[in-house]
Amino acid sequence: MDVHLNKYANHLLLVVLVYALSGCSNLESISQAPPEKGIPLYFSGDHELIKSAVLAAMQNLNIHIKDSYQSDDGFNILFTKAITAVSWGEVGRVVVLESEPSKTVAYVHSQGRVKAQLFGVKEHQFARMIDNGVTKILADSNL
Amino acid sequence: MKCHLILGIAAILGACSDIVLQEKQSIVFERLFVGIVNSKESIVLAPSESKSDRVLIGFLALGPIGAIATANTEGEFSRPSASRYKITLEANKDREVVSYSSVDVGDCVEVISTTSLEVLRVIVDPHGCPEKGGLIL
Repeated sequence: MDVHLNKYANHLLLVVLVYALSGCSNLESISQAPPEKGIPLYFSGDHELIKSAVLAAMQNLNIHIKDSYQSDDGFNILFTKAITAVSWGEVGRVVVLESEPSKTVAYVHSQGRVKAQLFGVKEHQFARMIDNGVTKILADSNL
Repeated sequence: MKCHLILGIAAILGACSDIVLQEKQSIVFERLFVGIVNSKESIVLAPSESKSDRVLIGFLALGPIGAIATANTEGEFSRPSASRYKITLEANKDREVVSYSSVDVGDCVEVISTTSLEVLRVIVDPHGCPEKGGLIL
């Protein structure tokens, strides 16, 4: 009886895993999302300074920056957050663009590596930490 | 015995994990120098998160199925890319900078020290860029 139950549990786990992993996010899928997807953060001031501040703020977080590039949509920064005991990790992207003179918007978009994962860092938490970092830099900066 | 095993695995997972999103330290954002970008080259940095680490955690959490699942979720884990720039300060004096910033050859940039790689800020105002660059500190 126990053996049957164990077999059943293993099959169930496999099915759940296959289902969950069928909706995986990775750097490729996140980089192909529309540029304005995610949580917008608005800043005023020199665009180049804010772009630098966003990058510096992200580098100060316990995430891994994987790639960065300039596109027609803006300055793209791709990042990951490592797998942990409670999540499969996250992938994310920040697009920094000048919306109008002296106005910059940064779109923070992230997803769990497995879309069905319950725990881990959420998009709004990435956005809040980046916003805090940039605000701190701009407040302290005399550039 | 089972309980000890579970506790042991939990302890290992906890030690390998970085669950909360947090700042590594107080933010650093200090101007170093201004110069002209002389050359730009794409480079691959040392791995920051290896596939084997992920597979190990997947295995500890869910056994062989977890290991296979983590191995298949991403192909390019260990290859973060950045750019290596040569910045000309003045005649015959170049500085090499590795950065995630994306600037073009010929741009006048301010090099900024942070807690990690340096950041390059393009100086748009022509008055802000000395013709030959120079040290700020």
